Amino acid sequence: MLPFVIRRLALIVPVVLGAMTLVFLLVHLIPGDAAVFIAGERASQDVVERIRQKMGLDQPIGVQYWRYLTRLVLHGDFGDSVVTGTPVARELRRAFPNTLVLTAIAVVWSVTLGIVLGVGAATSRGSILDRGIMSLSVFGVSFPGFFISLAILYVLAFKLELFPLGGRGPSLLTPEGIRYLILPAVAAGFDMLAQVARMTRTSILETLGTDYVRTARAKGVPRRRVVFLHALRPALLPVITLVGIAFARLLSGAVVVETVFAWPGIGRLVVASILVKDLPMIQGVLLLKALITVGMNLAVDLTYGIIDPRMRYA
Amino acid sequence: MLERPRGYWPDVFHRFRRESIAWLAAAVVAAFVLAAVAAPRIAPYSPLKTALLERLRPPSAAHWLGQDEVGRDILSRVIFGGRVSLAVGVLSVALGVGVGGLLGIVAGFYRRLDDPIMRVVDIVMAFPFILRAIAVVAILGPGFINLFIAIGFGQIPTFARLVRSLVLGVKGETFVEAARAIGADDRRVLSHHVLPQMVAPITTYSTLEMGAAILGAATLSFLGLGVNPPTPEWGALASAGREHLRYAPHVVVFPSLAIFIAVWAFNVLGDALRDAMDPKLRGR
Amino acid sequence: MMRKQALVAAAVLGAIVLAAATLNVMAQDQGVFTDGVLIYADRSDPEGLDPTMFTGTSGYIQGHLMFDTLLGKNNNGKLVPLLATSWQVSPDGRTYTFKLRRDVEFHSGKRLTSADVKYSVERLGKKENASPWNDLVAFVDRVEAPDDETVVIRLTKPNRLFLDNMSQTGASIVNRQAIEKYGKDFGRTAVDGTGPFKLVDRAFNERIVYERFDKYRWGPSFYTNRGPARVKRVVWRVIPELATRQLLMERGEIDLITHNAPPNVLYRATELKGRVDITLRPVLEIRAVFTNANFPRMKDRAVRRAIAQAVNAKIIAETIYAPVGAQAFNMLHPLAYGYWKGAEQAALRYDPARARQTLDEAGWRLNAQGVREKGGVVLNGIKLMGLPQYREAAVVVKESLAEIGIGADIELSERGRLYPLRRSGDVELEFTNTTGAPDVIMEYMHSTNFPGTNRFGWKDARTDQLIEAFLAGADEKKALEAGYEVQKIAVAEEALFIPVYVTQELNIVNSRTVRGFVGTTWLNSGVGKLLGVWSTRRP
Repeated sequence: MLPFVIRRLALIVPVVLGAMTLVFLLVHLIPGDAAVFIAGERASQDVVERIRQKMGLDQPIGVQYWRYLTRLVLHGDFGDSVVTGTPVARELRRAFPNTLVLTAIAVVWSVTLGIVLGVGAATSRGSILDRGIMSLSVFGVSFPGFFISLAILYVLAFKLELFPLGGRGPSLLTPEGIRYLILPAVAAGFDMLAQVARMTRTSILETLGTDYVRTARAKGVPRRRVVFLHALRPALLPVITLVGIAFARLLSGAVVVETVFAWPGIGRLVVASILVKDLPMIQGVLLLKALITVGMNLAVDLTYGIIDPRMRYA
Repeated sequence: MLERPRGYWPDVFHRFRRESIAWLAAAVVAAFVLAAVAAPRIAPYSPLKTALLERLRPPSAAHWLGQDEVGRDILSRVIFGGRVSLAVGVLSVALGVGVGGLLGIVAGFYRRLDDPIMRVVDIVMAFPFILRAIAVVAILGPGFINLFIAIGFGQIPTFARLVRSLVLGVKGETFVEAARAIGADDRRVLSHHVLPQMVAPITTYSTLEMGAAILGAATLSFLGLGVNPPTPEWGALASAGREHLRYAPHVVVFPSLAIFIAVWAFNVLGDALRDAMDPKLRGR
Repeated sequence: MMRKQALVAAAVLGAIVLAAATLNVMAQDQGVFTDGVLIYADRSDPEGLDPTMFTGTSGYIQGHLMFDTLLGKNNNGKLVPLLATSWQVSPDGRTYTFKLRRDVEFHSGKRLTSADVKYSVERLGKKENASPWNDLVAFVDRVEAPDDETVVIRLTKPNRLFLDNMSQTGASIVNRQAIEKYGKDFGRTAVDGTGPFKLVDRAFNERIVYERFDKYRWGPSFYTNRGPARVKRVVWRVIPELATRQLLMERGEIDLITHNAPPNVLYRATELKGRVDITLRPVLEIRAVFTNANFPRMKDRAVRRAIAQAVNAKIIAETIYAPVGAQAFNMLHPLAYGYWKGAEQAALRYDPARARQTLDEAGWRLNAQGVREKGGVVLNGIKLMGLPQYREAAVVVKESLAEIGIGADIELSERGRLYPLRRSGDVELEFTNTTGAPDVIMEYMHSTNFPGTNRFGWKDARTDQLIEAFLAGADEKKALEAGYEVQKIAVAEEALFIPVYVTQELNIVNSRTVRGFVGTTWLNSGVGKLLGVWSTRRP
């Protein structure tokens, strides 16, 4: 087991390094000039030059890259936001927990409900329930995300006045604060609910068709036991992958949901920082998202390794 | 119950036939394609003609879907928007299949190149799809061409991985070994054995990815990173109507419905194709 | 008899008691709740909090809450005392003497002296500080502080806009000791000003929290309450989604919006009465089409004039920007100092027939594709740029140009992309906004500002002379006339600036919690010192 883990960990090092480099290149390829933007319209040419010097943008790109890399790896320093002057790491630390909470709640409800629906659909295959659930899940993934968010906001928050509108209220540990979390979590989990349901159903059906399940049935094991004891566990493997992917995706920022509901997480930070061309912030956010995805993939791989011994030798 | 085994394609077709909803989806896709091609003929108005004094009017007899924020006919804009959205979908999937497929074939065929290529793919896939697309648009700027490049770029890794695993799967098959044994070179193996096997899965995935491409383009346009005005594109139409959601929701609702119906149709079609071609479900 | 008298006496007594009780209750209603919280919603976060570095409306608001300037301005544009109690200008217009208040303190407790003023003015002008506002003190030669309450500023040339400059956010007075102590962190993690509110907490892109500075007494003289503020706490919430801001206001979860509000909400004013109060206020803001005479195709004055005559400013103002838009005629705002009234007659008007004629006469003929062509140069693919919020106007302008045979392509970009292009002079045609304040005469039209703020690409010696006469001329009447000439060049002759509309802004106030809010018009933000307002919202 241990060599497997170590191998997996070793593999992510070049990936992470590559991601850092990619982010750096990406951000420096963006046209326009951060110095000019900060100086604003009114400033004169030499003012702009001063700002450029202050921010170190006048150095050759190799030098900038080296400084970026060393600061990041050695000090965990993402640099300072050129707009607020505060360290990027601090803003990320503030915003990330918000996205984490949102994602966690969204994943919990959508995966649970998704598995339940998927099992229900699989066990009643061909019935109206099955068809109904499957239709709904296809519907779910076909709606554009912004429409779902806007619709939820409009109907539930505004027309029916059941929930507060946007923002993040007082501490989430209070019953009052929780209400702010509900709608964005619903909107964010919508997509995943549909996918998990479908994936679960397909996976269970496949497992039900395998030899060892048929053997169990031939031996006379009642149907329900077959499903829950024999089919469900292996069937959940692809679901785990899916959940991992989806979790990573949501965590790296449900950009649209956070924008519409004004939820102060890292998804919103991406758009805001691209808009103002806050280079260190853009770099920081993109990098964080990359690291999250890599981390989640690693977690999924390791989980597979634990559950399915065959995987360890892949 | 024993049946006479059919050939591969007739079997696929037979299974496909049984899913009536797949037929509905196919019809919808065909309708959209037809509308896109025949747009100038069937659209009642020009999608660009403004009528400032009639802005934000709700659906009426003259304008079935109402008028937008500068008075243009929404129905016409949705029809022409279909052109743009479908074109972006097709072109980006083509880019994804083309470049991604090439990478996958190379990686699958030549073991030495497999690792480096897949490492790069892993790195790129460390970024979620939407972010990859946003990054490309941030560099290239807005516009139709840049949009499909951005979305296509987002899909390249997916197809690269898919094709690679297909190639690896086929390579291991005995008939390929046999072909090599009698001296067939790489190109022959590729064109005669590998590629034909990939047609079916690639078709299926392409159909599914069309839906993702259309959604991706709509989301980018919604965030303001898509086509330039006044080009109609469903996501851009919905985004433009956002400010008027309170008082004129029809400007957001109709384009969103168009997106929904198109993506739904592609998804159902793709699913049906996948079910029809899935060997594990054959014979049921 | 006795009984009746007793009854009357009792009635009178009862009436008196009742009246007293009522008066008492009324007096209690008049009582101001001084522990209230005011929640303001804005679209984006201000940048850093150094007043010399603000470049957006969000920033200006914060600046006036945390800092003060020497002078204030009332809603009629008249300059009033603030930190300075009085001032004098020498006859040659080059020396300004200010007398300061003696009772002003910074949030940290330090007393304000002339040394701080001297330091602030010099800091603003220092090139290495790279302030976008340094042209406020462009002609300042030196600053003297003969005693703690007197500041003398000497200019190299007279500048009739200098006093006005001293009332702008960039000229806020900062604490010299604080700057020396905090260094780079000033405006980032630490702030020290004399304003009615002090910074308490901040989360980028989410919220900024201020608390009342209890020692504040020196608000501008036109406020009935010159300090301290009546609101205990002000919370600045950043909510990028317009629909969300609107819905939150209607639900009563935020208290105040004074800019970036959609005009549509006016249509719901009657419906929302009692919950949300919506009023209009004029702002110094003009939306216009800028042409860049430095571009080969735009060099031809006929092309620019034709474009001006193709744009139907009236319709745009009255439809897209209804109900707050009104047609604009000039590069300066009607409320601005130096506004040339003659522009209303002389500006080029919407007249597509004349536009086509102008082009024909200049040799631009329609080719086979319906686009104007002359000597091999085609008027097609002209890039019309702008910020995303001007999408609708850009679409209409593009269509108008197409009707006279000019092909434009719209390219909307966010500020990060657009600003650098503007500065390098790479924008051919743009739909944009401007303050319409008199400084634009210098900024946009003087040749030394190209490339840079002079987006018209206009380099003309005669114009330069006129501008200098306007700013520094001793005779005010002659100076104003020179200013009028420059405006005439811009909008009537050369069609560099094509005015479209002036707008008003909305004050959207949550009437359930907010009392006593009066929007300021001397600042486009609508928010001044927040001295009169108070809130019933409990913390």
